[in-house]
Amino acid sequence: MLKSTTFFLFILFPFFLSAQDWKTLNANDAKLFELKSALAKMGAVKGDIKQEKAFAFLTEKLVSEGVFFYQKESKLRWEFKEPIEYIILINENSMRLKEEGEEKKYKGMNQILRQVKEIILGCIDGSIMSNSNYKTAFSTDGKSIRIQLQPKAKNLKEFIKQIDVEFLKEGSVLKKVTLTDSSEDRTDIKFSNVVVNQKVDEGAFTDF
Amino acid sequence: MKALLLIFSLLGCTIQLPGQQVDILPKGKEGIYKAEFNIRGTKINGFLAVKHKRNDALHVSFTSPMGNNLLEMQWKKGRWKKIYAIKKLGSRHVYGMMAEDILLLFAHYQYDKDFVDLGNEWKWKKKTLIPTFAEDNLAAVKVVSRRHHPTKTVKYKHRHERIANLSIYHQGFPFSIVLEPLKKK
Repeated sequence: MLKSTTFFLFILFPFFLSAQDWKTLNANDAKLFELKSALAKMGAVKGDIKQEKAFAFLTEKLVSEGVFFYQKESKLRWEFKEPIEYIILINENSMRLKEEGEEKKYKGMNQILRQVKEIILGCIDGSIMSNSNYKTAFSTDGKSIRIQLQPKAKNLKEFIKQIDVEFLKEGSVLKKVTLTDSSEDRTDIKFSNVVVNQKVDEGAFTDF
Repeated sequence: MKALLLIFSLLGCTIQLPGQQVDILPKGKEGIYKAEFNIRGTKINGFLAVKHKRNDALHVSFTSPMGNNLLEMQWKKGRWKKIYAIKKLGSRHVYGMMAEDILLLFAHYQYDKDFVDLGNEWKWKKKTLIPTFAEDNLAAVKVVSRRHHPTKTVKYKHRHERIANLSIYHQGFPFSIVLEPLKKK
């Protein structure tokens, strides 16, 4: 009996450890101020993106890969190259979308695109941390800072249940964004080869 | 008279041969497809994730390239259950057409109790389905509804003994779904 209990504790030990890894941070914690001020100094960011969507009813994952470019204040190019070509261009107040070589203009999707814009830009520049539309919780595992956001509005809750944003503590670089929707499906967006404050050609935000 | 007609039709038909493949997504299998929905002229691209469960339920989820769910539903025991749908896709008419088209695309009607195999044609819920085969694979299914209702055509393209493209078009109405299975890395 003792042996089996020890065995189970041994098996579960890594899970206890990982659960303890994230320590809650107070909203006034100095680490968060450091992160906010570092993000405020970021004029431009670019890097690679790898998005993995896990469906609750499927074993297979949907993997999309591409690049992103961001320039202050609100300029963004979000481009998936595989498995389909999909480009979102945000240039101040304008937003354009190209899918599979065709520019899209559809009215019914405006609400979704507005949310996508708010979430992506908010995660990159950190403004989502102080967005009053979300209930926020902060934590750290020593290497990263995690911000967990839950939408307050009913229409937003229908669209998304939770957003987890992780920044590397060193360099305050965006590491990962996890979107959990109301059906518990999760979308992980991992960022790599991130380069900060290197000038991005203006055409990246205007031309497909 | 009806019995005679039935006997005549059974004698005259090209009965589905044992080797002919009509299972688009066999039981227990799943797949992710690149999807293009044309809804009354508005094209929406994304991905359709589909699972044919062991209990013959068909679970489908249509997501945008950004990963957010646009539509999720499950067909079980002859009925669709809507799990989630955005406003654009959730209206009764659009949702109803999409739900039926997805069943037709995956030839999942064959798991419905109302499905009747008459050999050269199939009957399903007041519809006549006329299949055509190419090299033992289901190549197309023409859907003939009640009089005055537009008909639909489901097409299957095969490459290297696998389905490379499946589509459904409504005749005289801008509504279609085109699917391409994603290549596994």
